[in-house]
Amino acid sequence: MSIVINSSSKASAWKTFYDQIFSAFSAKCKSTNPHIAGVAAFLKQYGIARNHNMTFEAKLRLPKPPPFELRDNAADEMRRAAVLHLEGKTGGSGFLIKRTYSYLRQVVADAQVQLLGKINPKTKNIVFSMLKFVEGESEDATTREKFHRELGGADAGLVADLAMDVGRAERSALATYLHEERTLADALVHAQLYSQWAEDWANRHHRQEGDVAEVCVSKEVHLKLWKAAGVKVPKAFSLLPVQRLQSRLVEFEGTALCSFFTDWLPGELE
Amino acid sequence: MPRNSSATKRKLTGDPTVDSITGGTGRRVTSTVTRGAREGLLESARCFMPFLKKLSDLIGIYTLLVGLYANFYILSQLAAGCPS
Repeated sequence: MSIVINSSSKASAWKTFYDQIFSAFSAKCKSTNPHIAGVAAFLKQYGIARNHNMTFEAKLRLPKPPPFELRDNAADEMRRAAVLHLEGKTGGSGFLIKRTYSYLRQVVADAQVQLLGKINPKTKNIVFSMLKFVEGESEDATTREKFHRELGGADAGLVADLAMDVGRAERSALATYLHEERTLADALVHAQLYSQWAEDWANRHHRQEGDVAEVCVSKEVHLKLWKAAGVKVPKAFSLLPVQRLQSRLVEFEGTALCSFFTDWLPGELE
Repeated sequence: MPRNSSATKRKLTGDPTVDSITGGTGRRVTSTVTRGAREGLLESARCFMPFLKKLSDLIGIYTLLVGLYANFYILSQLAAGCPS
């Protein structure tokens, strides 16, 4: 966990993190690699076990990983993706802020559906103000009034109260992450709570065969209302970027290529 | 020795019939050599392409595996309450 504790600003730490993971898949991995046991546990859940030669085998043999020189470019690409994912284009806590924004919007919309059976069409207008409030804007008598004014409509008072409650709860939960010198690991813990909430929400409203009619109607009503209000339905997300399955550009030099042919393809050229 | 002399070029190519390898002089023999070299390169690339494709696919597979494991690792560490 040192990579996370060291904060994402140390980009080289991410490169080492991914290089170590790449190495942990290899049979020639050093015994000091911190991911050996983790990779074995990870692959075991897919029925792939490490044999006595330290290679992974299943019904379909896992191919030998490419040598370091040739995968270097891929690891660097992953480092860039991780830093961009966590810090955003502007740097800082982009990931956490973005996730907090989505969460506030979704929680307020969800609560409105449950309490009022509808969503105030201007709900998304107040989320920027809520986010500022959560980030530490001082609270006074005008805060609620501001929400009330931005919302408008007959139910504005109730929704403003709701927004204040949600905002206060998040403000106290996030206070330690946004205002103190806390680590990215803490921020990830909090982001994971958002993901868990989204997953629970999706499970609660997941339509399955055999569900009673009321539950199904609730799901459909939810989707219709959320779509009309322009709020995205909660979805669980990954804490680090997951790459797509596609061929990667290989950058190589003579020595790297030589290592590839002698190490990875010893029989192919004979 | 002058930089672009024919003697230098002959030495470089190792072929006494070749006067130039740059094509700068516009001689017919030059374009023949260049074409030959190009075809040689293309032939090498054709032979090498299956290996390169295999390698690109392999790195793609491992990149996906590493990305998935990284998330698995972070989640397992969070579940264990490691960050403190």
